[in-house]
Amino acid sequence: MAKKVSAIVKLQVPAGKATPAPPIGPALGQHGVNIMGFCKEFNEKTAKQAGLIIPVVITVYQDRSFTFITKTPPAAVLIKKAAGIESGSGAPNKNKVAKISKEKIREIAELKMPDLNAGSIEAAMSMIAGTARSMGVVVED
Amino acid sequence: MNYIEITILTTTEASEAVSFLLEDVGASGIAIEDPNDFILLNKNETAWDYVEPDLIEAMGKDVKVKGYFPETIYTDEIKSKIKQRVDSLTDFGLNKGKGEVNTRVVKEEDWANAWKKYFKPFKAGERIVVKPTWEEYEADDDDIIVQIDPGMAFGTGNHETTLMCIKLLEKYVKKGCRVYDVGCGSGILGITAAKLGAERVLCVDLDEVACKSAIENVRVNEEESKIVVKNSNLLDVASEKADLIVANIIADIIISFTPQAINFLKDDGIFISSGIILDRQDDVVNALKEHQFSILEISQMGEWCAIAAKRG
Repeated sequence: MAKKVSAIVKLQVPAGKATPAPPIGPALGQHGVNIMGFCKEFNEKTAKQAGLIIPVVITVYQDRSFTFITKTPPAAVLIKKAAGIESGSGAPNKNKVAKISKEKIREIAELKMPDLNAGSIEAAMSMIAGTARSMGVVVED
Repeated sequence: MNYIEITILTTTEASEAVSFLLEDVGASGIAIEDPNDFILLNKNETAWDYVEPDLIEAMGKDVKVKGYFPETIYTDEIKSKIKQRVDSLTDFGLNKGKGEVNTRVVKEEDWANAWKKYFKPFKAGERIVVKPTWEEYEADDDDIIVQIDPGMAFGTGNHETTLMCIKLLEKYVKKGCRVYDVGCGSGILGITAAKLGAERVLCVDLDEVACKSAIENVRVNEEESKIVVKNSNLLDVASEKADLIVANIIADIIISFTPQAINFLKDDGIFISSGIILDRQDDVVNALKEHQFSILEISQMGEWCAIAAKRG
């Protein structure tokens, strides 16, 4: 299969519950991809992880065929889990909702390292720490 | 239902934080387009996929994070809240990049069947007509119809590499011959061979999804009596020799497959290889010659070539 890529799209989709609604429909439809084909396959592969949001990276080829791989959960999900909170802060500058240790930040960065476009573990940590702070989660030294 | 699509221009570093804030203000779905994904892919030398430099350039430097809101719940207030939170990302030590926030309406009819409109019946060779399973087509007497629903597999027939194979199959498949389709994808080439008179066809693919799609397409074309589909690395499951092998893969795999191909061909058997970028044509030709193949012809289309070679 000679595969020339026409698009790479990352989506966050609930496990086992992909439907043609956004983001899937518009993201894939604009590249002429068979949307139902994707939903069927994604739901089949992620059925066991029901309840989780799964980032999925879809590669679309020039003949409008595609492949996809599922990734580690979004940073925000891992941060919430590590900090023991249900949701982040809507006003992160004012309301701090939890604390997280540097050590936890490193753990999350290491877990997500293969999926981040970060050049080094330090860059990945700063990305995760920044994301945590933007959710009203204080990063402790 | 229509949706409002909010696009934020940002950086890789801030993309996770932006996804979170979109979700936090009620986005029902998130999509991220990051040009760095392409750059990484092209750096990975073992990857099969190929990205054109023009495409990377066209994507620009910004990471686009998109959030979707049902039209019914969207308000301008949401947009200003998003803008404000994007701007404050700098306070948390993240590079927000341009931080631009754009909106547009996306209509359901625009995407639902968008892909199908690109896939219509078309004449792929002298006589072979590739027809999507859901399309009507009035056949001429000379037409040979191959029905395809590509689903998740490669092979709608309109890619240059597949088209050249179909044309070469029309020329080299003889009535009653045995054919191997290696890296079969949707099964389009194996099915074409059967429709052209091959008596026995073995389609193999390393990808299980492709095998499933091929099995379904074989059934739709009512060729189960002639075609067997197997999940296999190249011809590892084959035992007998064939009259013709067709492999639409990529140059490196074709080169490493050549010694196996010669072993599984009868004397004077034909090997059609495709999926070869023009830059690699000489490499494949050399590999074929090294393994006692003689080159019959080379087709070129766009940036691709396909080679027909004969054993001996």
